[in-house]
Amino acid sequence: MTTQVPVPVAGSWDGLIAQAGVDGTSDIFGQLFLAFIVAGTLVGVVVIAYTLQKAYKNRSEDGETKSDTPDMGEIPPLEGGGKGKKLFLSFGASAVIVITLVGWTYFAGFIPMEQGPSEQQVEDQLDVTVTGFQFGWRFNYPDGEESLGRLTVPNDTVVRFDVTSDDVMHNFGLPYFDRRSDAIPGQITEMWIYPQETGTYTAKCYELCGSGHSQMAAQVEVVPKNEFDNWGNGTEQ
Amino acid sequence: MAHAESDEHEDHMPSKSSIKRWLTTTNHKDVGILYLITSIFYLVFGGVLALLIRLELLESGSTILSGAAYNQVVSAHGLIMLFFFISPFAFAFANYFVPLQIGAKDLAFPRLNALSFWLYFFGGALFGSSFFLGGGSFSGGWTMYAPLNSPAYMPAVGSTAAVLGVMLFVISTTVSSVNFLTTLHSMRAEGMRIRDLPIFSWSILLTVWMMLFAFAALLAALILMASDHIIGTTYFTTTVAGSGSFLWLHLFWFFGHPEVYIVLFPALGVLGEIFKTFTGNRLAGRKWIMIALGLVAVQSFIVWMHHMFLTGLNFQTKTLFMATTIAISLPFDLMIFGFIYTMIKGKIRLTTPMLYGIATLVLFIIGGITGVFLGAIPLDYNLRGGYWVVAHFHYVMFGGAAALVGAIFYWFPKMSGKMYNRTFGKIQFATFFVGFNLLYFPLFFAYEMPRRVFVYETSIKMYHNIATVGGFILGLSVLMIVGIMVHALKYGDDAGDNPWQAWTAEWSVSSPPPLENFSGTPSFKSGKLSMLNPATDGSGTEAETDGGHAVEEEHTDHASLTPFLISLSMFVMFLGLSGVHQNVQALHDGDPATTATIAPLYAAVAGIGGVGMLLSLVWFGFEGFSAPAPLNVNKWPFEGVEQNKLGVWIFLLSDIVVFGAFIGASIFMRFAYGWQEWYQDLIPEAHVTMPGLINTYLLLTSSFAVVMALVAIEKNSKKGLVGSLVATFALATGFLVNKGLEWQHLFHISTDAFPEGWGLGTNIASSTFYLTTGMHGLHVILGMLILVFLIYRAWFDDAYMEDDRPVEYFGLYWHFVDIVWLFLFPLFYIL
Ligand SMILES: [Cu+2]
Ligand SMILES: [Cu+2]
Repeated sequence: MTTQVPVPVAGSWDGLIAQAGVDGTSDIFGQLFLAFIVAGTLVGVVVIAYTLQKAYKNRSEDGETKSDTPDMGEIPPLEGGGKGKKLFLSFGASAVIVITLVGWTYFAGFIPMEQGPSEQQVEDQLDVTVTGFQFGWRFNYPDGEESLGRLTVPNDTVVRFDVTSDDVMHNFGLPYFDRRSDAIPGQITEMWIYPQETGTYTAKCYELCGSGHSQMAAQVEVVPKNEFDNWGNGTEQ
Repeated sequence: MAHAESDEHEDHMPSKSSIKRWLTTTNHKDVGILYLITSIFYLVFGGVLALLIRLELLESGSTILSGAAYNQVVSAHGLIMLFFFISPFAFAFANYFVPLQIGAKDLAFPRLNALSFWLYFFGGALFGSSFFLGGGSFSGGWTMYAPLNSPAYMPAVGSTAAVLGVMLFVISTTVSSVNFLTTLHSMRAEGMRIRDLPIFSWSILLTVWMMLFAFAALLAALILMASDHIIGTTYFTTTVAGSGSFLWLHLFWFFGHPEVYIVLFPALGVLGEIFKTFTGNRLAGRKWIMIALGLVAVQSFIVWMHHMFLTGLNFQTKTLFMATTIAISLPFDLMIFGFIYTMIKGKIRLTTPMLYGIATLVLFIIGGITGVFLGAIPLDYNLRGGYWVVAHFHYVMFGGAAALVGAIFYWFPKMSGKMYNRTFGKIQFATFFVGFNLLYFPLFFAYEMPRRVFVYETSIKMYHNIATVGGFILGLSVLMIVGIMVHALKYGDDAGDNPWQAWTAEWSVSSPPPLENFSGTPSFKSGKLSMLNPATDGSGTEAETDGGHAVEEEHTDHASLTPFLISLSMFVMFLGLSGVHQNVQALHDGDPATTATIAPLYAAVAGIGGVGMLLSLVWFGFEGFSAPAPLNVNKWPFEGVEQNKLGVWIFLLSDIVVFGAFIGASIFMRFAYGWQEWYQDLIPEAHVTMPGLINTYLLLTSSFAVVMALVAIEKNSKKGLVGSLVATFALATGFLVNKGLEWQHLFHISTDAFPEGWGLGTNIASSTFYLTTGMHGLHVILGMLILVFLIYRAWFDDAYMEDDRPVEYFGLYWHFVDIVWLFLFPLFYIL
């Protein structure tokens, strides 16, 4: 793929590629995750600090309660202790934060992730069928090649997976590429990755599938494109 | 039926130090204490399993547990904590304090309340014994995903026993829901409208509404799963278009998400009580908090597919469920702010329960924020099934448990009359809070690690090791709770009636409260609690039955052994059923000799249990039992509906969901297979419309016969009554005989397509047909048993001529069973 001058537009594939993370993956997850961590920590610290401060400031020094507590067995007024306005202001603020954050992930993450890169954007594509079984992974390539426990994919190529299972539910997870997908018998689920750095990574099973679940891993080998072609898995080049 | 003083009632009850008292009690406060003790036992049980997990995770790889054993421990930990610990823990307080808060003497159906407890108790016992039955306990995780949950992958007797143990618990929750709903809707003292409920009782009201529907879905799912195991249907092994897996996912999560709030709401109610009491303020924005809770309860049924974002749902569905998920998170923000603002202008006493209250807020804030991550689909894509989820839901769920531990420290003085050592309480709190955060917070950093595995990279070893230390500190703090309570019972000072200067009604009576709670008829009409006719002549009390018939005064009793016996025999029956197993040979190394001896043994045990259940149910029906009739009550929105009728209605509501799930499952599986192909490929030509049509006529006529029975009562004709009931019975018999003939024929057909006959396990179409209509047939049989009872009583005791309500309520049930058939008939015979 020739390097274009990317225009980082939120919601577009090019924009996200352009913002690819330091580890060479298309780091949509990483960015959103970081933003959530920052916002979440901020909100959490403010609210918790406020709570603790109120509790401490209003503490009873003499161990006594207020002199004007409600009557025993009272039917409380519907409004209770009031403070409705304050309540709605804070509620409104929190709603705005949550909706903004999640809405942003929807447009900046979810939509491009669902669509995946089009063929014009990334020419090289490889389709691999991934089948989970008790207890391992089988990979089938377009040219009929099959491999057990070891996935080899070319670098700088979009790899699309059709994930399914022979027996029980599994979940095909690639932690390095920040993606997981259920493997369901009789059903195909799709996911894709766009490796941008050669290396050896692990695939793990993220759904309890029986006694060998803990050890149910596979090796993921990202090799340079030309090496992959020689290896004989023939992508449609 | 006058019971002058509470002392007299004490005479009717064996003393608290005798075992008989605890086996036979139906009093809501006794039952509450039974729940409390049993649930703490399961907290320790589930906690020990958790510590096993933590020890296993000290090092990567299988160290102390094998893969299979680890899966059992993980699964049992989840199932025990969710089903056998936390909800019963909350319902210990609900049992004890809801009647007190609303000014009632007891729950609507005290014997059913005891039945709930004993079903739970024996459900737990069956679950616990599953470890010692052949092959070990269930090992498919608490979510029990299909098809791993099917007998092909989980053949052990123990795993079926564990599922049946959970099913007993679910039956218990259904009984509880009916009971609490009837109570809260028909037994509020005069002047207390539904919106006047104290926040804890309000939270319980919404909890039981959610329970009624959510647990019905789980019950249906568990029946499907158990029938796959026991009678060989093929629901969850069907893989066409992933339909078996998806059926489970939908049914389970339709239950599973509301379950989160079923666990959480009582905790929020407790928070409300604690914050009110220890700030001295009314709840800030009380109305809005109540509305927010109500909204969440409704919304909880439309978010379930957010648990399925990785299953390949289409874009629109995912978008929709992301939106509903965000929408449901917002009311919680409002509640949390409501609790925080309650502290403003308060005078806050930092007692142990209040420390728990504030701490729970902190835990909920952390749990809530980290939950928003999972609502954002792109993040969920890489967090689902991993430790982020584990950490998040422990903050929320065990955060809820923290509030409930606060509830112990809040209400213990009321329940026991003793005050615990307050310094010990604070030390316990500190231990708990430190242990909690050391245990769960580091797990967020391990978010890339799959849950339920013991292999991990060395880079996250530190987090696991901190968590293990935290786990043991938390475990220690749980033991401290028990220690502090035992110490207080022995050495504690008298707590007095109202040690916290609280103002909900439970604090107005002595500690512990007298057997019948109030020394008169409570009323809130003046705007606060007052007693009408506080003189204890008891003139206001009338006898009321709860399914048993009213008896002469001197036989009236508040104690009953039947709930215990019914539950015990169900335990025995389910224990036997777990071994009546199509795959039983797989258990004993395929040795046919062992199979031949073991399988009949289990069948015999199931039979003994079944007979025992029948006998104890008969005893239950004939037993003299009186519950205090509520007077001066506020029933909105069910004015004019008698209590037992309300109970029947509510029960039928949950039954609608159960049948809805069965019918839905049939349609779902058929759609997945292909509507027409299903008919062409899977159903033999011998399956014709006629038997179904005949049965439709039989059932409709039988409904008419029940109506005739009521007419006969009006005309004061005993013969007419008995005759009509016998006619109903005869028509129902005809229905079953006709069905039996039909089934026999289908079982034994021999065609090219079905050379072996069309049995339960032949294919998914036969499974849905036999199981769904079979469930309906069971309802018919149950109705016939009630009919026998009614006929006997009408004939020998001249019953119902004065009071036709039992016949009327039976009629409600019977018409319901008919209506269900009107759905089943077209679905299985015409379409
Ligand atoms: Cu697995
Ligand atoms: Cu959920």
